[in-house]
Amino acid sequence: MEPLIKIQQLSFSYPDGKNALTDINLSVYPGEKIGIVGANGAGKSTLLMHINGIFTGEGSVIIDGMECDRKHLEKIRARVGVVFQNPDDQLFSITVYDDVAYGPRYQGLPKEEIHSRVEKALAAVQMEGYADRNPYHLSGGEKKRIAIATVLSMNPDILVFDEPTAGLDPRARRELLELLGRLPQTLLIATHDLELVDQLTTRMIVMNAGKIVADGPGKELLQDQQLLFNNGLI
Amino acid sequence: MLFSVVHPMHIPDGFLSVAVSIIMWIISIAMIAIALRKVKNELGDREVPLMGVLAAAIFAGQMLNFSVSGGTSGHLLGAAIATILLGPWTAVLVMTSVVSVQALLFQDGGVLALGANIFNMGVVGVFVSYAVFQLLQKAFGKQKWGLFVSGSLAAWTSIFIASLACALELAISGTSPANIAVPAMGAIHAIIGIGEALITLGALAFLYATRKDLFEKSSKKLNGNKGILIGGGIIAVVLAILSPLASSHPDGLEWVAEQKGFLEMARAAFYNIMPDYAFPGISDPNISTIVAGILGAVIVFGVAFGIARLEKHSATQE
Amino acid sequence: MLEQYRDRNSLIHTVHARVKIIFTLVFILAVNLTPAGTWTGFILYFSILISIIMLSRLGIRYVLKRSLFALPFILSAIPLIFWGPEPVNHIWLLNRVQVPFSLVGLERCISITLKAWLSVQAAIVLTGTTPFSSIIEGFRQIHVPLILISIIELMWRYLFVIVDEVTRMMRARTSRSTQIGKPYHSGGSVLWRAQVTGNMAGSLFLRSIERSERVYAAMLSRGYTGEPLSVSSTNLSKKDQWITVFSCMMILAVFIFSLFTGR
Repeated sequence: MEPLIKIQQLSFSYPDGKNALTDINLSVYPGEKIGIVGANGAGKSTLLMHINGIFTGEGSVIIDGMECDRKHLEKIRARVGVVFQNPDDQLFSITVYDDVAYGPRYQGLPKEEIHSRVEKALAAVQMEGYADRNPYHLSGGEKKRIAIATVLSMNPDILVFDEPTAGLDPRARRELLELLGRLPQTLLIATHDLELVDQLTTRMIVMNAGKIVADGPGKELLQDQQLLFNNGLI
Repeated sequence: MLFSVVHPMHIPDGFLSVAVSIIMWIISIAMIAIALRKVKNELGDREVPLMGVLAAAIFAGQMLNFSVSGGTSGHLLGAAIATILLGPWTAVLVMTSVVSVQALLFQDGGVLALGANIFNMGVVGVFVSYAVFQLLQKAFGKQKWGLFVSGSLAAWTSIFIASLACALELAISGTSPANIAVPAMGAIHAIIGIGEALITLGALAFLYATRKDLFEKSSKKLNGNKGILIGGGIIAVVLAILSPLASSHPDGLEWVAEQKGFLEMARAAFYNIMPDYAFPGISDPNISTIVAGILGAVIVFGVAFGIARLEKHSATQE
Repeated sequence: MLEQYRDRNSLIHTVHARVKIIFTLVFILAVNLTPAGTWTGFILYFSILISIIMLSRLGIRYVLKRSLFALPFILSAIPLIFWGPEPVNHIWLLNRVQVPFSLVGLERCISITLKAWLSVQAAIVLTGTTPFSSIIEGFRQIHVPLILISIIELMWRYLFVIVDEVTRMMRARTSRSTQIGKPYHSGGSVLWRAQVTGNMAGSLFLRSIERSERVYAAMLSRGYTGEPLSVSSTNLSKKDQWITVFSCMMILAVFIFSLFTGR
């Protein structure tokens, strides 16, 4: 089977010269649920930003057979939905409806299609009654769900989450975990939340200083106290 | 990213004559002084963090853009939205801070020209926004659409009038003939102003839907600034009338550019004090240019030599 | 990426901020007062500047690269070449088109470009060798009003945070601005894109207003009374005073020299 995401020898450094990623190799197959863990500054978010071409480094990133270059960028982004850490960065419309409709509208879909996409996306995150609400006034957990709906409405195959549970209260966190567990897409979740990795993912990637230092089934890696300690996870 | 935005209204140094620069500095300093007194007396210390953070937000907000076509994009300058949210005097201070930091720390706009840039974006931009916004608000009443229409027209007018001020300053300085600068600047900014108006409209719509109370608060600060209302109105009308006039009589504006004034007199005086034979041949432009070239090369070489010596010295010490 | 200050171990870095501010102002003023067409003056100003750049260890290439950023404005002076002051001659291009041409205008256009270029480099050297806090301190000493200084200090404090915020917002928008290929035409209308950008600006301003409320509360809790915190200022040393006098005299000398020797 062809991998959905194929990253080969990817390196990236920020304009100020700081090395962020070094020689990353990663293949992700359809339907995989992957947790990416590592201390702050390990390169998790930077790696995620490469999967939909927000950053482009040296090496190759191939999404479903498409090289991640200028020509394919907008098509790749349609396949990869990114849910950012802070929903306030992601939600910028006056109503929930407009925010969820942004992606399909930009794609140029017809009105009825946009409408049904929005309804489906809101249903998927169990926020059906919220279409006319103002996203700015929602609670942290609600905002997170809407942020997820804004990418679900584009029907992506891959969902990428940056710290999805950060800042949520315990109930919102539990509900979010349930929601993530129901999503059929290929998931990549960057997180500090080891419990989330244990519950939701089948594969765990440990990053440290811009490199992948471990890649394997979460159930095994989570038992390795030395590995977790060395990489600042406990 | 920040530097890919070329602000056509931030005049660098070199483009304004010193006389124009100094006059604009004097006017701007006077306006800032009035603004400082008003803000201190009427609003108090609570305003300082608001002004500082919003100045940062306007600076950063100028990065927000939307693509128009063919690689061009629309973005925000922010004088109108600052005026509507903060009231005119506070907005003068905020825009002054934004323009100053852009000039002093990012070289976006000149140092000597900063007075003029503050005047154009911080004084004209704010006053004209205020006048247009208040007059239209009165005409439309306090409805939601009245706010939106007034706000976006204020944004467009402020950009357009500020660009006329900018063009006239360039023309008076002899940098750009008025019959070219005024229509060119005016036309470009009539278009850029549409972007400003649309972004301002979107911002007002968001703020109105999300925090309506902000407008109730700010309407107190907005009311009762008759001076600015009249001043902004006069600036707008005068610039709108003056600039077409100026562009049909471009020569009338070149009084400073011709430099028949102080500098020429000073120059003549120098020639009189030091007769030609004091520096043989130096008044011949070709020879003096060569002399300057040699002198310059000697200075640069001397410094380079000095640095090399110092480095060698410190290297042997280590 | 935003920070202009480059930490180097150089003579220019150690000079007191006030001296550098005064020198930069004098330099820019002198350059701008120098009449058009005074090539001798421009050559000398440039050699002084190059010397300072070498001494500052900022790197000539860095300064040149940053200085190009002011140049697009030259467009506004280009018309001088064609419609500048009399005498305007007409020259034939390729024996077909007749173009007006003013030698005085050309001279002025080049002079404006040189002045702009020299001035912007001087400003780059100042900000490249002086940390922001020292520049602000310099302003305090030349009696810029304290409220303005407080605003600018707070602005600087939150500028990087808010620029990051804007960068993230734009990233989030980009990642949802996608296309799925034919038959659908992506991008939406310009008006809609403008409206979305406006909404983003509104959200940015609202978040900033709310941030300022938190900042105010935090300032109060640390004993803020409305007066800016005064910082003890260092006086100019003998050495700094000498540098000020010497460097300004040098500029003055070049200025006078250029007045004589120009056209």
